[in-house]
Formats: sequence, C-alpha cells, structure tokens
Amino acid sequence: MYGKETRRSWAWYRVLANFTSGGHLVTHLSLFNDTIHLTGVYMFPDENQLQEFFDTLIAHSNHSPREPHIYAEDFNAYTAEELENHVTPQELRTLLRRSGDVNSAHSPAPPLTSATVLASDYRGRLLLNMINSLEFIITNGRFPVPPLTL
Amino acid sequence: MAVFLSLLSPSDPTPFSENRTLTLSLDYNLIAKHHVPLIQKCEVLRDSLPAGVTDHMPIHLHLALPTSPTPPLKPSSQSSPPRTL
Repeated sequence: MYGKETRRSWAWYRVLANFTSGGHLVTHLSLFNDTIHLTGVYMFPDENQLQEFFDTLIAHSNHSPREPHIYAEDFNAYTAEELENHVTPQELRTLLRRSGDVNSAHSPAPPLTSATVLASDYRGRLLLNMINSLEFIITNGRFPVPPLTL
Repeated sequence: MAVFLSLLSPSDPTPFSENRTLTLSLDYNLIAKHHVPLIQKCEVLRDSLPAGVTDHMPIHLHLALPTSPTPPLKPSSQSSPPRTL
C-alpha cells in the first residue's frame, strides 16, 4: 500500500496502531474514562478482494455498544443518496436524509449484483451492505450546517 | 481528503488541543445509529482546500462523549521504579 501511493498513505502513520494486509487500520483513543474506536480505511481502486475486505472490517466491529466506533474511510465507492435500510421513518425525523452525490452515474450497484459491474458501483453496494448489517449510518452530508450570518 | 475529528466534552465546548485532531484521507464517516445522539456537528468543509488538489473535501466531525471525573494521579501510584542511567 505505502509503496503504491505514498502521497495518500503518509497520513495513516499519525494514527496507526494496527495495520493488516487487508489495508485497514484500527486505533483506540482513551478519552477521560471512555473509549472510542476509530477505524481508518483506504481501499485501492484496483483492490480485487472486495468481499474479503469488507468481511474483515465487519469482523473488527465487535466492540461494546457503549463505546462509539467511527469508520473514517476512502473507499472509492459510489453510494449516491441511498438510505440505509435500517433507518425507520420515525428515525428520519432526527437523522435526516443524507445529501450525497447526485450524479446519476455515481449510483451503487443494485442489491443483488455480482462483481462484474463497475468496481466503484460494486464497492458502493458492498459498503452499503456493511453499513446495513452493522446498523451504522453515513454521517457526512446528513447534518446541515446553518449558514453564517453577519 | 482531510478529515478533522474533533471530540468535545459536553461540559467544555472548547475542542481538545491540536494533538487530538486527526487528519486522514477519507470520503465517508460512519458511526453506529445508536451513537447518533453524540454527534454535535458533521460538516463538510467545501472551501478549505485549493481547487484541483483533491476531489475529496475535509469533514469535521464533532462528538460529545459522555465523561466522568478522572481521578488525579498519585505520585505513589507509580508502578515501576524511577529510571536510572
């Protein structure tokens, strides 16, 4: 990973605690008496073991429910504005609908798809599958910031 | 893309010091649905990098973590003897 794209990779060293061949890292921060888990991920556009990659990420999500776990990722994956399937209409009142990439060419692959589709689409589908199985949400694009007033 | 993860204490609105700011190259921030109430703000900083540097943009995620008092360290709690040369 580092040899192929050092410009992107240098930042990982700042928080690196545990790095695996799957291309992800896990670090743990102790804040006061609590613990949060931060998993930073970079997936190469030509990564060819996609399902195994996501399986590894899911396997590393087995933390106490009281300890926040944040995935901060660069997946090169298209998810457009697809809603997480575990979010209920009642929860949407507070979670809001995510504002994502509205380019129609940047949609995830259909739910029942195979690895023969475009890689970014397929990675997006696998990412959404992971999010749905863990009951996670995508935070960016979801919490609008009020405009500054002068 | 740079991501700034700032963690706030509910009783102290001042962000932690610089060494608690993490800068990563990312395009998605994910968190468990049941931890959404911890989110103070999640802001995509659209104008913080020069155009053309990257097709990603920084994300500023603020979390308010539940905290409890941390007992002060006692000098006598040192578990190993002082280092000598």
